[in-house]
Amino acid sequence: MSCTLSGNVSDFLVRRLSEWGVKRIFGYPGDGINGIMGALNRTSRTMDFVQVRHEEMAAFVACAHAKFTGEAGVCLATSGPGAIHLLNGLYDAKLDHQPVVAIVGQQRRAALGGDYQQEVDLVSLFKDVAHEYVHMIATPAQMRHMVDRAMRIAQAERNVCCIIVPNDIQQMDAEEPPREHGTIHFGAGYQAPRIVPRAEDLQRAAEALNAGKKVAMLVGAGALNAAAEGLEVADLLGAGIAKALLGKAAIPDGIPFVTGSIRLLGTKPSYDMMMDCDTLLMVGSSFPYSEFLPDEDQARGVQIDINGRMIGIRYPMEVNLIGDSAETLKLLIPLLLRKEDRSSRDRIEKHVAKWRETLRERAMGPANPINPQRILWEPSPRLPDNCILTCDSGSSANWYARDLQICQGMMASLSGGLATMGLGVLMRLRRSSPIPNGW
Amino acid sequence: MVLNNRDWNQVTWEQRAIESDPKFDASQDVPDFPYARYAELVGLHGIRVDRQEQIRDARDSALNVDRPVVLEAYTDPDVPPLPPHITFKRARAYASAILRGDSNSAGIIKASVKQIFAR
Repeated sequence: MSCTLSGNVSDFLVRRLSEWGVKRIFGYPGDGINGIMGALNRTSRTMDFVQVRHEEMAAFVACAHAKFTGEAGVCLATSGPGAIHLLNGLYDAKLDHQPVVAIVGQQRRAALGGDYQQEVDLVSLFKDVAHEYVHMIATPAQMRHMVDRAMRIAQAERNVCCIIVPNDIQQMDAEEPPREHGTIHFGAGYQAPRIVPRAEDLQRAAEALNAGKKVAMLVGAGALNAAAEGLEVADLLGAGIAKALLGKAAIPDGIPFVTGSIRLLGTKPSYDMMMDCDTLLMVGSSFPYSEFLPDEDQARGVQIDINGRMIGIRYPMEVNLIGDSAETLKLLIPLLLRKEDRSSRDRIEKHVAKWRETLRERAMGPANPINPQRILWEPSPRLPDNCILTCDSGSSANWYARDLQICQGMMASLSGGLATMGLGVLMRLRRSSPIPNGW
Repeated sequence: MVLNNRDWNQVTWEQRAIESDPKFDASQDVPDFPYARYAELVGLHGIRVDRQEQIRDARDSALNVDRPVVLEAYTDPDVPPLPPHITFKRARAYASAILRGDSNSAGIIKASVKQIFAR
């Protein structure tokens, strides 16, 4: 016998998401999810439904929520066309390794496989973007473990998960699985572990870093919470720090040895440092462009990444450390010797100072009519220290990368791996903002 | 902030610098659109700058408004997003694009010289 719970499957879905700590769902309505909309209406005091203007926005904003809060983002779309619209935003999350759960409607079970109106094979459609977990619920007792698995896998794997809920199931009575053969009993909750490398691997990394005379650091989104540790390591090693685009806010600009962004939209000091280094320390980045990294035989490489799949795939690293950036750097610091020869650092600092002058000259130079660099360069020093910066994909990303100077406390992000368009403004969507006319 | 350059600018530069092709106007031109006025229409605050001297005041007022602001800058599409180092291959592609009849060639040459000279 199944145990009946209060409310229907949709009420249970929303309640279970609340137990997981979800407070906000981004979505767009449709008749394929009206059962869930009813539940959200009944729980509007505990679950915030944020209505966007297109399902792609729901997925973009869920991803931005994850990027800026560290929590899993949840988006909701109706069956068929609504579900299809989610894809671009979900791929933004997949390529930038953000935990996002998509909940989508589907036609009634009795119609599936019958070439019915708006019937799309959603499991196949989402199979690539949500390959870690995409399932369609077939009976009410599955809802508990499907929510639990989607939320847990999204966070543990930092990836996209998808739950498909046929329209008729949304209104059925909620059920707990009976305790019998063939049922499963899940518990909610996920606490990220503290992941650090083995002591002997840290020792090997320290040996490589201590031996270098010209150390270059490259930090990415994985180092966003490791500013203090990153700066201390750079100081010990006499290194300069270049920043991949998603790691723009990892280390403030304005520090003499921070060379800024890297690649085509990057800075000359970053380029020169990479071409000249004998040791590369890469922290929390999957920066893909080999032509902006040292030659294969030029440098000894050490990489730190939380994700074992992302290790050693950009440069043939000598030491690969799987671990949290800040925790791993903390363990490395006591093993590092302060470099007495500061000539490499001095050279980097000279390049950075010269580049700043170049940036200023380029930004303040004449144009017809407005110089796009100046419109970012001139306001940059006045931006509040706690502001959130976002940028769309396009030539503006060049000026964002180079001309906006990050101060401590600022957050900044964009579509990194996918470099998709149309999300710059959406990433800043907040219902709490005093936005008139329901923007 | 909207950089209104009336151009799919990044891809235009990629056509020139990577493909050695001149800008394909039919694919790259974007209609001019009054972004700041549109912002006002929907209840936001709109500011448009089309002279460089206006930037400072626009910045200060944008940061002191009680609602979301759209700051529209009427920017120059011919300012090149110069790479940190210019390879011979890229420079050749770029020059050949301009020689092959780019509709913006005069502006590009002028803007590029100024940008490179700033180094």
